[in-house]
This record gives sequence, C-alpha cells and structure tokens, in this order.
Amino acid sequence: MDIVTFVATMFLVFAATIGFALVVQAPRRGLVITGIIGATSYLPYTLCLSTSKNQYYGIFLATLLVCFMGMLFARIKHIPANILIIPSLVLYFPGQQAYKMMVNLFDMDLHAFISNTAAFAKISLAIYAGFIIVNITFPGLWRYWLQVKSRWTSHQE
Amino acid sequence: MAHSRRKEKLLVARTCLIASQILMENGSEMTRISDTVKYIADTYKPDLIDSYITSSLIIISIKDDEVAGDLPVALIENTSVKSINLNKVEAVNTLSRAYSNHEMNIRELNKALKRVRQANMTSAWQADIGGLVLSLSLTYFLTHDVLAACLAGGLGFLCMYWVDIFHQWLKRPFLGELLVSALITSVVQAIMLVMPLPLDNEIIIGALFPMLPGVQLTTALNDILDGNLISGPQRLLSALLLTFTMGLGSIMALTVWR
Repeated sequence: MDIVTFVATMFLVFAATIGFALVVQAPRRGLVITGIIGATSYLPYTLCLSTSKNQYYGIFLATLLVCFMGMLFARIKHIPANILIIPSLVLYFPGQQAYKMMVNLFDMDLHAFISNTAAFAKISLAIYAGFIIVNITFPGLWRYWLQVKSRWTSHQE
Repeated sequence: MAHSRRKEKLLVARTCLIASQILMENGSEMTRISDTVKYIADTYKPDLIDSYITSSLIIISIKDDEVAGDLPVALIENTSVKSINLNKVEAVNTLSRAYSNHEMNIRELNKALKRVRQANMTSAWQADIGGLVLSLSLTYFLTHDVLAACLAGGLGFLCMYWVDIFHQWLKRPFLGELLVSALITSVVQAIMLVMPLPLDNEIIIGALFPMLPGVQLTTALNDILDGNLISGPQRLLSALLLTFTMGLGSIMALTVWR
C-alpha cells in the first residue's frame, strides 16, 4: 500500500468515526478528537494485517489504542470516555458479522452461519480483551503519571 | 431547621434519581450512572445515599436517621433505554462536575437536570448526515467501489431518516428497524431491476450500518466487565435481538422480491 492510499484510507476511517459520532448524537466538542483516535487506531490494525495476516490481533491492538487514548483525552478534556471510545471503534464492531449471521441463518446456509458466528465471537473477544487490559492498567498508569508530575512540579519550585 | 434539612436530603435523593434516569434513558453504562449518583450524594454528605441500578429499575435509598426515622426511605422508578444520545450523557456529566466543584447548589442542579431531561437534545438532521457519511466512507473502505459507496451513503441517509419517523409513529422497539431494513433491501432490489449491482449485499450492509447496535454491544461489554451481570447480558440480548430483527427485515424483503 503506498503512502497516498494509506493517508486516504486513514481519512476514510476519520470520516466514518465522525459519521458514527454524529449518529449517536455525540457532543460536537469531542468530534475531532474522536475522529483522530479512530484514524490513529487504523495504524496498528494495518500493521498487524500486513505482518501477521490476522485481523483479530489487529482489532485487539486497535482497541487497546482506542481505549487508552479515549481514557487519556477524557481526563484531559473532561468528557465521558465512552463518548470518545465508542465512535472510534466503529470500524471494528462485529455488527456486520452479526447481521450476516442472521441472514445466513434465515437462508439455512449453515456453513456460512458457523463461519460468521465464529468471526463475531472472535472479534467480540478481541474487543473485550482490549477493554479489560486498559481498564485494569490505565488507572494505575494515570496515578503514577500524576505522582511523577507533582514530584517534578515540587522539584521545579 | 430539622424539617428543612430533611427536605434538602430528599431533594438530593430526587436529584440523584433524575440524573440516573437521564443517563439510563440515553444509553450510558452502569458504572457512570453509579459514579454520578455517588459524586452528587457525596458532595452533599458522604454516605447519605445508596443506589441500586439495573437497566429497568432505579432504586435510591436514604441512609439517614433524620430523614428515615424508624422507616427506610427509598425512591423507585421504572426506566428503560429509549435512545442513544451522548449529548445528554455529557450534559449530566458537566452538571454533576459543576456541582461537585461547588459551582451550583443542589436546587440549581435539580432544576438544570429537569431541563436536560425535558429538552430535545436530538438533532435529526445531524443523525441523517452522520448516517450518510458513515455508510459512504465504510462502504468505500470495504469495497473500493465509488458507485456502491455513493448508493450506500444515500441509503444510509434514508435509513436514519425513516427509522426516526417509524420510532415516532410506532413507539415500539425493534419494529422500526425491521421495517427500515425491509425498505432498504427493497430499494436495492428495485435499483437492480434498472442496473446490475454486483455488490448489492455490501450496499445493503453499508446502508444499514448506522442502525447496527455498536453502542449497545460496547456498553454491554463494559457492564459485564464491571460485574453488572443483570444489565450487561440484558443489553447484549437487546443488541442481538436488534440485529436479528434487521436480518429478518432484509430476508422478508428478499423473499418477496424472489
């Protein structure tokens, strides 16, 4: 993938993230930040796809980055974290697989149904794992950062 | 004096109830609702309020002998997720933060929350434009086909427009999504009578993307992660039912066309 195509794709992801933020009535002051987080999350996803050819690792790493950046900017900008995180994950939601699951079930295409159900479960697990890791580690990291910052500030004084 | 203190504590409880109702009705996760109630209550007086929140019931109880006397005092309200509106979630967050920083008193907070609850902070055109942008960009991202992306974008706009109309008209969950997915599928099949569309499935999925329950799925995962084993699975089931309904609508339309 050349650089122009990559930048164009990141812009598409940025637009899709903002589009979804508009759909869920996200406040306007968080729109650009959400778009940036969503576009940035495409980097680890593409890297994983091109190196390991495994989209689930890519989704896991992208979710890690989205949750981390969402929680960080939530504390800086005083916005609820979910307002930044949920639209940024639009590219990785297993909604498409869930829809295909249902359509395959109605069509009695059991092979495709099992395949899409497995994809739905794996994507959900990848997103869930990303959420758990950031939820466990971020509060400790933030407290450590505040300690370092206060020690640095008192040292300066 | 004691009477006015009791009235104020009841006001705190009612304020916590309104805040939790607004958050629940607009798709917030359980942890945020519990934390908001705790911030409001603890700002007034620590350990005054206890809360129990599920996705269909909110119970706020006052742990104070001056109010309770020999009888417990609890406020109970039925509730449900009516829509996803992160604007209202942010408004409640801003107001509770202002109250915690002592920038307003409990009466002002109560009035402000009532205004937020009654206000229509939903912008229909914003959701329609969002649907267009989302469907167009995601479909192009997946298919790299300009025609498919443009069609999906236009249908995504119609999808959000129709679902809003059906929700106002029918006032029932899932039925609007069923009808809209049937309509979108029918429109795509009608276009295929005029010109061939090799990516018709991708166009339908792209057009229906704004309706897919991504927020509900993420919130359900958040709730399960936080140990809310009533609300989390309930929201997950609601998200799966919504997806099932959309699939059913498409299949019904395809069956009629075939």
